[in-house]
Amino acid sequence: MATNFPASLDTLTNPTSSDSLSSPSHSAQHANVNDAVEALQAKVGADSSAVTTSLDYKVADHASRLTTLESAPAPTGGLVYITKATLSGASVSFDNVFDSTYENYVIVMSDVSASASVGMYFRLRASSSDAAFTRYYWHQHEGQYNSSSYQGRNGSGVTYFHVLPQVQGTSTDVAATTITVYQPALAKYTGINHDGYEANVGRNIVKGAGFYQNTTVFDGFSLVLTSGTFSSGTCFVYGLATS
Amino acid sequence: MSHIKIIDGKTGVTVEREMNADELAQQEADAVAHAEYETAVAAKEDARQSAIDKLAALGLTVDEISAAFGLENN
Repeated sequence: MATNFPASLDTLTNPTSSDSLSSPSHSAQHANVNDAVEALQAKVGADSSAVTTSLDYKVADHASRLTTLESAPAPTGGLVYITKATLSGASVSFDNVFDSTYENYVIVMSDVSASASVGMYFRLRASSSDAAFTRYYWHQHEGQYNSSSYQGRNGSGVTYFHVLPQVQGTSTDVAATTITVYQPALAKYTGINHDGYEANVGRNIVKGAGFYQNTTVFDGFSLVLTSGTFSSGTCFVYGLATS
Repeated sequence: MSHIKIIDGKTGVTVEREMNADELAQQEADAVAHAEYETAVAAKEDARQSAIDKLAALGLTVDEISAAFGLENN
């Protein structure tokens, strides 16, 4: 019997102590084992095999590709994903997202709704604590779809950035905003720029900017509702690659 | 009690817990500050609308009020 390996596994007949040399054929037994061993060797391959179907060739090829991948430089340019979270509870905090890896960051929130019509604050954070100090300075414009005029709001020496004035308590009238955070992990003033909308009765468009007047090094931030809890929303955090 | 959710960007670990005393105090302060701010914004809006109404009563058209004072009805 010629070996079936590697297409399928062989079923070899073992002789018993009472069998004669002719049945099963002694020579055929050796021939079958020899064929099977040769098929195994062909499948495994000799050292540095150039046979592309051999295991030796495949293992060496994969090891080489893995080494290439591991030694490849990290991606450069553009946004680099750091983390994300579903919004829930009265506030959501992110620790250890700002560090020396990036200088500036982009935070994107969408599908944001709350248990009632409330505002949402953005607060910087260091060593797992919110920086709720009177060092936030900001201005924001709110426009409405049915008017070309806008309403300005400001905060001068308050304890928060006010990024969404009217998060709504419905699942359809959601809000979204993108916040760019400048140099939070450097010993400089941290700045923000935000741009979002609130799909509520007034259909607000919200734009604003501000800074934290202190050289605190921050490693995170908090999203704080002025009352109630988040009903929905997702927050993505990205670093802006420096090269 | 109010829940706070904390995500660690390095480890990926998420902790959800009740706010501690300091966090609760800050939450209450935020609610008061926001209410005061909204009251002030509403008062400003009322004053703006009052000005529009008075100018209209003097005979100015909506376009004239907008052109001269930058005030528009919402």
